Amino acid sequence: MSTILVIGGGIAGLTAAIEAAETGYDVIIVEKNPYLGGRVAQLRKYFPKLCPPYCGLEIFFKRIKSNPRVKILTMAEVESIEGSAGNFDVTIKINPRYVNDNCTACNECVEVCPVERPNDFNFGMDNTKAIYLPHEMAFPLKYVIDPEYCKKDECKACLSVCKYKAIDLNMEPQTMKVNVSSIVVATGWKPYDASNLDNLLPEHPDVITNMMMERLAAYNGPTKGKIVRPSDGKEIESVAFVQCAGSRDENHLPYCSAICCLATLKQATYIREQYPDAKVYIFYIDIRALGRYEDFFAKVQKDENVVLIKGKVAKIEEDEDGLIVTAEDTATGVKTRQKVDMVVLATGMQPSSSEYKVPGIEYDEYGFVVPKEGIVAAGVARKPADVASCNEDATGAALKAIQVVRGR
Amino acid sequence: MELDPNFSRKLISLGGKSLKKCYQCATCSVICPISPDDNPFPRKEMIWAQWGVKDRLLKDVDAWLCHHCNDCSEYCPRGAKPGEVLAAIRAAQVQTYSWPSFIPKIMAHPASFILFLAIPAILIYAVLKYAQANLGWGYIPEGEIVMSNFIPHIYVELAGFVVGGFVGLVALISAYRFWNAITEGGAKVFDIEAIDDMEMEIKARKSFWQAVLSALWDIITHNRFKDCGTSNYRYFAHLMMFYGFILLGISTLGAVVYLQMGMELALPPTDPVKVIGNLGFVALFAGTTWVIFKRFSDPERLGLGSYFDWFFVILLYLVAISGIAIELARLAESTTAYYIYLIHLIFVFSLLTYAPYSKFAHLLYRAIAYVYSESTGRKVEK
Repeated sequence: MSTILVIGGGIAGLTAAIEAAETGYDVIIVEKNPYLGGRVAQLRKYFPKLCPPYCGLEIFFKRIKSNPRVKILTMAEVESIEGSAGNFDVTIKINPRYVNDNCTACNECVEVCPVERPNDFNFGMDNTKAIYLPHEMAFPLKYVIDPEYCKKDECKACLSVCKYKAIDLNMEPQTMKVNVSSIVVATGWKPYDASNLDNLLPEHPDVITNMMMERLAAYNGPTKGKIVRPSDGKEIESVAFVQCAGSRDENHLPYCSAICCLATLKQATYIREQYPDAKVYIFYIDIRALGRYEDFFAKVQKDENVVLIKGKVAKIEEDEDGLIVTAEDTATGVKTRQKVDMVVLATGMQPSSSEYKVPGIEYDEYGFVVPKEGIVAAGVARKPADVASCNEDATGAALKAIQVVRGR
Repeated sequence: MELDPNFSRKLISLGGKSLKKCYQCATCSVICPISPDDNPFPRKEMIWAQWGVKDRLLKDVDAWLCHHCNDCSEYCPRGAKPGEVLAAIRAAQVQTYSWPSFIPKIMAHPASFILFLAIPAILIYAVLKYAQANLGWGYIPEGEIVMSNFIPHIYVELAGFVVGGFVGLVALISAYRFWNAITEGGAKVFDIEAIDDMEMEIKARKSFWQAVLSALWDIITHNRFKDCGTSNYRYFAHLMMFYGFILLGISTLGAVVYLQMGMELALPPTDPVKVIGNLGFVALFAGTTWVIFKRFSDPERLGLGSYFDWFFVILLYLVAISGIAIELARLAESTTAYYIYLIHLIFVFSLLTYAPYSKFAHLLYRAIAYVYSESTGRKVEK
């Protein structure tokens, strides 16, 4: 009767869970993916200290592992929430992983698996086998089978090589019921679907999103951290960043996604670190580097190879060996046509509820969680925010959740 | 630079309702298929409109290079509808350059529509009463429907010359004022381009008459209109209205020639002049109907239009409808034809007399803007 349910195992959910557990409350984390860490796990570096994400995530995992009060359910979804603050009956569905706890991540199964699937962790920029480890640093460190691609009984190649009897192709979905006092909704976000931006050539392989750029730059990404042009692997001589691609736009996301300006400035440094001569063009409406991030903006601005142009890109065209982005430079009143090797669309944050709504949770018109008695929102489920703000937000959410458990 | 907040308000009242929403991202200037590279529109007009930079807006020839495609409004992230703001700027220019200036001021109020229709109605009534008393015509005749038995054509022709003279005079004044405003500082005549080995290439721009010819070609073919995306239907609809009007004009000229030849004007439907007239009517009516229908079917995307706009559209439509109604009544041998004829005369008088102050004047301003843009090279190269 004193448990807190945390929906979502990203940076906000993990923070809320561990803060509540270390204060002495039982916590259940329900995570839809086969791994914890959410969007942060996909980044190359994150603010404010620009360390690789596993700096922070590893510490969380260690704290979770050593705390018996935290129960983790991966590949799990909340099916229903009934009751009221202090007494919620929650049904949780656990999807089959087809791999049990015996798994030692020896990788023998992957070597024999004949089927490939697009790697969603890398936004489809490479493939994994149908049995795969979500990513190198995945926690829990267990393989998983994608039932959409696995041929199951027709194949069974992995079964025969697994020495630990870790694979069970007959695993069924399970449902469990729990009673909790309060719920923290930290279901996070997804990158806004760039295919809606029909004037920005979204289907072109060299027009990528900022999250794809994180994967390109990440050491465990599809190119092992080398940023190259996706279509042909060419080294980068010039890149254009298109700010507010689908954000602050009534036709797409009407709100400011809060993180894209800093993400672009950060990614400009990824490119400049790898290519000392490359040119980076950042097209913006206005740069929103708030608070202490102003210093980072100033630092990037000093780089002579980073050109900031005030004017939104509204047209991208394919050209011989490259792309041409067009914007009106509002400082000079001239339409600039810049030829570049690749384009990064700084797409914004859309709450995950846009594709998956937790039954029993109320959402506003944009898909952000509307809090009510006993149900607290944390992180991007509440509003667009950077990692540091999500941590602070989640700590506050943990306190709110504890207040319900204890009674105020 | 003088700022006039009242001018902002004026543009809002003329249909640029959302202009204050603009946050200057310049999506519009890029998405516009007919905006030039150097100082593209409509982003600059949007900030001028917000600040009320009256003198620049009134000299802004770019407003007339805009064909209200609405591609800008479609992609505008703020719903600021630059397409409607530019239409409002055009309306403000028409009101500014026409003469005498009290007419557009009164016309700006929708309630005055009745007044503007009442003027020709009273005039025609007075003429009829006078004719009945002194000239022996103006009574509803009996027998076969022949308009000249009711009002001899020579008087209609005379009225036409009076109205035409007045309209021509006002148009000349407007054109003179507009041309002076947009060419202030002189039109650019030469292009200077640096080429290799420290050489320069100096290219003379088109001469005035070359520019006039190119502009005419663009008008006849609706070349510039063609690139419109969102409101692409307007290219076809306007083409129909445009040629409908020209056909009606040709048929009117034909009628005048017939009159000079002493012929009777109750023409059979097979007469070539009548055929051209009817074709013109069909094109005009269909084009106008299409425009009205489209506006109401998707007002959010295509814009419902301002009163300034509708003043013209409604009159045009009324002229077309009453014109065909006369013909139908005449074919049905009903004397209502005479009454409809009177109503038709009121509408025609209104359409023509108020042309320099209404959206009808666009043909003058836009043609001048075309000539200017041709002579200065202010055009999207294809």
